[in-house]
Amino acid sequence: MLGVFLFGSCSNDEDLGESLIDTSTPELNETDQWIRENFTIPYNIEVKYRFDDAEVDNGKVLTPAKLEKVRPFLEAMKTVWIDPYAEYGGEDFVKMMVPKLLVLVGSHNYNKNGSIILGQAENGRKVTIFDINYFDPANKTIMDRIFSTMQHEFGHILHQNVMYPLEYEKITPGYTTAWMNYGKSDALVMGFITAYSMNNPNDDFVEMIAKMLTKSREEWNKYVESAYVSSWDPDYELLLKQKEEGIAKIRQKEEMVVNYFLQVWNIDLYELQAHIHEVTVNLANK
Amino acid sequence: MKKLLYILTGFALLFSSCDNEEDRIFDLDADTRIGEAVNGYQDLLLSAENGWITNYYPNAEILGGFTFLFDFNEDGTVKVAWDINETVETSLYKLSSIERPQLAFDTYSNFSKMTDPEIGEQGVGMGGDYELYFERVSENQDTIYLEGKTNESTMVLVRATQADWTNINKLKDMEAKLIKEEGIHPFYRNLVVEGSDQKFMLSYFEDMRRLNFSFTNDQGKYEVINMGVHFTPVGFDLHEPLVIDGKKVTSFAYDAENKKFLVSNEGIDGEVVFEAEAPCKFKGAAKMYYDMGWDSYEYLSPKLLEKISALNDLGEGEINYFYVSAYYDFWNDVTLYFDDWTSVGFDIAKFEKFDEDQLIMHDGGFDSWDYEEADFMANEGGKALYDILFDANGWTVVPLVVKEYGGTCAIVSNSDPEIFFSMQN
Repeated sequence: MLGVFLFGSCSNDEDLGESLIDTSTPELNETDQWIRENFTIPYNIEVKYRFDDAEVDNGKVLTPAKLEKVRPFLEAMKTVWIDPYAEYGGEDFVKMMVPKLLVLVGSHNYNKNGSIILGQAENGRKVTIFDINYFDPANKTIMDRIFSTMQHEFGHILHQNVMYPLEYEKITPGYTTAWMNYGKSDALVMGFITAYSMNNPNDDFVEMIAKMLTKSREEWNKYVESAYVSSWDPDYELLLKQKEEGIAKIRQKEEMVVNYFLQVWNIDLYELQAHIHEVTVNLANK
Repeated sequence: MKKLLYILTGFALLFSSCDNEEDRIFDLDADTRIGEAVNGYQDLLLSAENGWITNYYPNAEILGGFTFLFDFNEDGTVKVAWDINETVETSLYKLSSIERPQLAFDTYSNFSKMTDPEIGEQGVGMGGDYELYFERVSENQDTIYLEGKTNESTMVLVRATQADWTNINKLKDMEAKLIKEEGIHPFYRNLVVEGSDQKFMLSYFEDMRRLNFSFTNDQGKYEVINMGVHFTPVGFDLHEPLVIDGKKVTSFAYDAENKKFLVSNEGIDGEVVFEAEAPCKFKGAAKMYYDMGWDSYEYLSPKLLEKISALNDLGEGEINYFYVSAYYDFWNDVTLYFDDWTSVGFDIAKFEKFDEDQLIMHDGGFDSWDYEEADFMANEGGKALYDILFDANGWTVVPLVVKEYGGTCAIVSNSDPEIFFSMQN
């Protein structure tokens, strides 16, 4: 008798109605379709070019990307960044390492001190690129700035997967968060490729990659030795000596970066550098 | 006892049951209702044959308003016209519901200028919103009220007419009239309303689309009401009413024949007239504006430029700009730069009447690396500049933008109010 009551229960065969989860394919415009074919299907990359406040710092004033800039930018990105890595590192390398979410923002991203954030990488999964509305493949300054950001952020993903040798950070131990107080020449003399590379060893490592991959070998060599030392300076001789020491330190870092690429990722960085330079020039002359 | 326990347990089980009857306040579940609301707003936006018009104040506290036209399309695009830019731009929009139904302009268009960190204060922008919540819709479905998600700016969308798409390009003309009317100097433009003794001096600050109404209050003190405006095909409207003797003034229409703005609110006769006297004296204006270290010029009046135009023959370059260093008691000079970066100027030895709204400048000596004093004074424009600067009648400081720190003023010649320059720090 008790058993009957115990096992008796209410019927829950209620009609739950349609699922509230929308699984329908969103309507794709031409840009969406192009992204799907060129980024999402081959590399599993989601590109968010429509402004989404959930993806950006809400404390900042930012603007959406111009629709007409999105595809040219992504085409250039594929040409200058994805395709060369696929060619020299292999398709699998790109599929594995490439960030899975690209967020495009139209405007600059200003800090309170007036400096500008060019890009951000989060956990190797997401990269946010700012300044899309200023993109112009014929403008070398803009191209360098945007793709230096891409290379910089991708560099972080690489070392987050396989760390570079610890000896690297011992070459120039004078890292400082007050890097913005230094100019380009100050940095070079101290053995840093840019002022920002003084921020910490990780930024130093990826700044090396970014600078190498946005210049030809010749431009790179010139840049490494480009610190300005005034012959009027009473300490001219000393400064010249320091400059030479700075160059030597950067060359030492260069060797480690090149070895890292070769040994860890089986990529000849100088070949990759030459290739990226060539396609960048072609893009500007298109 | 055990039996009793069984019986009680049996009863407990017998009478326990599930109650699947819920009292629903709404017929549909929340998600369906939100979906329907979003679809309803989408249909409403698409229903306007000529789109929607809004006078949008991105930051009503410090800026004036801009007029936008939006024509929403089914394919997710929206055509956007702006009174500042004649090009109609197309971008994407999206309706969704995060906390509540919202409209987002999620690719760049003219409307994105309202949130562009490059426009207005660097990194801060104009304080507008690109995502706005739907607040309510008027009963006749002709007006949609929205509120900005981040900065809580208000947007009121009203069904537009075909004429609005043509008229939007005329709004700039009305602004030009407010900036300067042809042949008439812009200062001491007084708003006079019939039946009231209260007069207001108008000054317009173009960069911020704000009007200053300067007046002498009941206590005999100088006061300024600073208010945002937006333009209409016939004139301009104030963001909030200006109350004069209980009458609310909000709208102005331009009278082209008589070249003046008239109050267009029903039952109020009023006009903006040019008068020789200002209705108020801003005591301390000279000190307030001069003692903060001016170092830039904004504008030289056409008549001032014309008077000194012969200076273009003095050197290689043409007159480019005035540079006024005005650190009272420390360093004062007026320097005129040419576009080849040569310059000529004068130190200012002292000011008179400095505590009022008056300035009289006294020559502290010729100062130039590029030109000789004799050549400068022999030039008709150079002599004119000297006479204008050191005119014994002096200058009146007319506040354009009044702020606790900084601001903008015009320095108007007392001998000829068409001669003036404005400065901003």
